[in-house]
Parts: sequence; structure tokens; C-alpha cells
Amino acid sequence: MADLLQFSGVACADWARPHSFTLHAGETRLLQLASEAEKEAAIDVALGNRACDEGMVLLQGLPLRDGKPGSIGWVAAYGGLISNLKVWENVTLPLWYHAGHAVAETEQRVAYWLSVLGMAEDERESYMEATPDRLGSSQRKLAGLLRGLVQMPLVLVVDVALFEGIAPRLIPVWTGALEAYAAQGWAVLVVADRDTALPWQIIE
Amino acid sequence: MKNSLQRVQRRLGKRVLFVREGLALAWQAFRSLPAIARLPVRHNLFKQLYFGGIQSLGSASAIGVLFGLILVIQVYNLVGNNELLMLNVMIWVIVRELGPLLAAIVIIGRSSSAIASELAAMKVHGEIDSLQRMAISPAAYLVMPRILGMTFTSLALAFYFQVVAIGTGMAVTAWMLDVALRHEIAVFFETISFVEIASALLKSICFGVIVSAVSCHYGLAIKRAPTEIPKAASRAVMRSMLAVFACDVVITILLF
Repeated sequence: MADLLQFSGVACADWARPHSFTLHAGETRLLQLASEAEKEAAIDVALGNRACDEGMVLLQGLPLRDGKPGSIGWVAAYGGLISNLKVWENVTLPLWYHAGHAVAETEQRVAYWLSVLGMAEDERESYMEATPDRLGSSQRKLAGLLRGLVQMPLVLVVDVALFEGIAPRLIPVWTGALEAYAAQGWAVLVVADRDTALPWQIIE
Repeated sequence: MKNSLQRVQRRLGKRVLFVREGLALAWQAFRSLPAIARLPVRHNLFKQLYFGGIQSLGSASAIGVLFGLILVIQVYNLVGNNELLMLNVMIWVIVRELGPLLAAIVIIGRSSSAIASELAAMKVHGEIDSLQRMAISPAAYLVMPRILGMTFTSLALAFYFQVVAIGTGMAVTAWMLDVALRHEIAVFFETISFVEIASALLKSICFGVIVSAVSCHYGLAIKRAPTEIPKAASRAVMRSMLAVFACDVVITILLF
């Protein structure tokens, strides 16, 4: 299995301890941290948005800053949507900003992930045309998750709060979608700040 | 005395910082120009052109017609039956000065507060952070299309405003002085100089860049409190206005 993301003795000033792990293609793993601040910092470090004080982060064996922008995707806790864009524009934003795909290909990709995520076909059009202010909390979270999946980054960093406050029946569907994503040769890193019942192996 | 001096120093320091940060933002946006090849950035640009340009045409037309009328009536009262002087005054006032300035004021009224409050709301709601986490540069995705869009808008709107105001002025002059409109148009093109057209273009471009950069700067510079959003909008409007007038003075001194 190819190494995708590697944390090597990574620590920031306010962290309890440094973290070292390697995330391989096909894996979905859970990084459990001590506090919300630590979780936010770890997400920023993994996304290359913040420099760590110690250690280094490698993407496919190279320093993260040398990687192609958009190689690491992000699934926000509460969707992280842009309020003046429709769901469709939000979902395609990182994909089209970083890679630029044909509309038909993107539509296919969105339709595929929507079916994996269990959305009925007759609901899709109105959902995609909605603006974030018209969506409920779960629908916003779903749009954020869909955006990450459609972007197809090498590594998808997921905030564990995504799974909080959603209907219990959605949890296995969404975790299944993330596993299906990883199974396509990518990796998923779920970052948590508390104990969770999610099924993935915790990074020690 | 010492306190007053320190206060003046502090205020001056803030002004210098404001100009420096505004210029830095405009430069950052300029460096992001290649990002215009990306579809979401182009969408953003088109939205700006539509909102700032197309939707402003109505107000620009109304102000242009009214302004052309006011000018002709005032000048006619002052100089009487003098066609050439009336045309010259129209060129001095509308092309050299008020065309770009009034177009900038329409843009400030319509777009400056809208841009500042939109960006400020995005900042308060963490959307700027979301963009950064998606490795999307706010300068490339938000600022550059706004600066580019507002600059095009300013240029096009100033030109449109001038055409409407001068057209109205010439039509009314032709009617009041009983001269042929075709003759007046010919005299107009003989009278207007390259420097006058160039100054109008230069002013429109500079005003567009200034208004958009100032508005974006105030929108993005706020702290994360909802009460800051209206403050950012009103600051953007007032500072844009001030900066536009200052720039107008500088260009006028340099060119005329």
C-alpha cells in the first residue's frame, strides 16, 4: 500500500504530545486528540494551512508545501459552505478551482456520490439548486461531505463533528461512503477531539 | 499638546497603514490574475459584472439624462446662445471630470457597501477560513474578480454615463438653439482632445481599482463580530469616496 500522508513527530506549541503516523492508500483512520483546539490545529496542519512547530508532514513522501494544491480535501463539521453559492456551486467549487472538469463528468460524479449517500433521485435537483440558508443542519453537512468526495483528493480530512447531531440512520451510510472513497485508492483521516463510536482504527 | 501630537501621529499612522494595506491587497489580487482561467473565479467575475455593471445601467441612465439637462440649462442661463461654449463646457465638465466621478459614485453607492458587507459577513461566518482550508486563495477567488469586475464596470459605466449625459445635453442644445444635431456631433468630435479622453479612461480605471480594493480591504479587515459588518460597509463607502476624490485631484493636476 502506498504511503499517502505521513505525520512525523508533528507537534504544535499547545499540543499535549507529538503525533507520528502514516496513512496508506485505502485506509480510513481516526486521529484522536485531547481538545477541540488541538483538533482544529491538527486539521490545519494536515491541510497545509498551518506550519507545525516540530516534525514534518509528508504527502506521498514529499513535504506538504510541495504538493499540488487541493491534494488534501476537507470535510467540515457543519458543512463549511459558502453562503452566496448554491449547493451545486459549493459542491463543485474545490474540484473546479483546483482541477477543472467537464460539467457532464462532474454531474456523473455528483450523481454517483449522491446515490452512495442515499439521496433519492427526485430530491437531487431541488437540493442542488438550494442556497445554504434554506438547508437544515444535516443537509449542510451532507453538502460538505459531498464536496469532499466529489473533489477526489488524495487524502480526505474529516472533522468528526460531522457525525454529531445527524439522524442515527445516516451514520452508517456516511461512514460507508467514506470507506468506499478510501477503497478507490485514496485515504481518509477522521480527526476527533473526544471518544467516538465510529468504526475506524484509532491512530495511537 | 504632546497628547494631541501623539493622537495626530496615531491617526496619520492609521491612514498610512490603510493605504499600504489597500495597495498590498490590490497587488496580491493583481498577482492572482492567472486564476481567472479557473471556472469558479470566472463565475465570480461575471457575477460582479452583472451586479455592478448591468444592474447599474438604469441608475446611470437616469443620472446621465438628468445631469445633461441640468448642465445645459445652467450653461444656457450663463452664456446664452453660444453653441461652441456649451459644447466645451460639456467636455470640461462631463468628459474631464464628472463622468468618471459620477460613475464612481454610482458604483460606490451600489457596490462598495455590498462588497464590504458581503466579505465581512463571510469572514464573521468563517467562510474565508473554509476557503483557505480548501486551498482556495481568498485573494484569487474573492478579491481579484471584484477588482477586475469593478474596474471594467467603472470604465464601461463612465463611458455610458458620458454618452447619455452628452447625448442629452446635445439634443437639448440642438433643440434650444435650433441647430442641427448632426452638426453639433461633428463640432463635438472636432473639439474634444485625446488628453481629455485619456484622462477620462485613466480616471475610470483608477476609480474602479480604488473603490474595489478599499471595499474588499474593509470587508476582510474586520474582527469576527456581527456588529462589525455595518461598520465595515460604512467605512468602505466613506473611504472609497475620499480615496476617489484624492485620486481625481492627483490625475487632474498631472494631466491638466
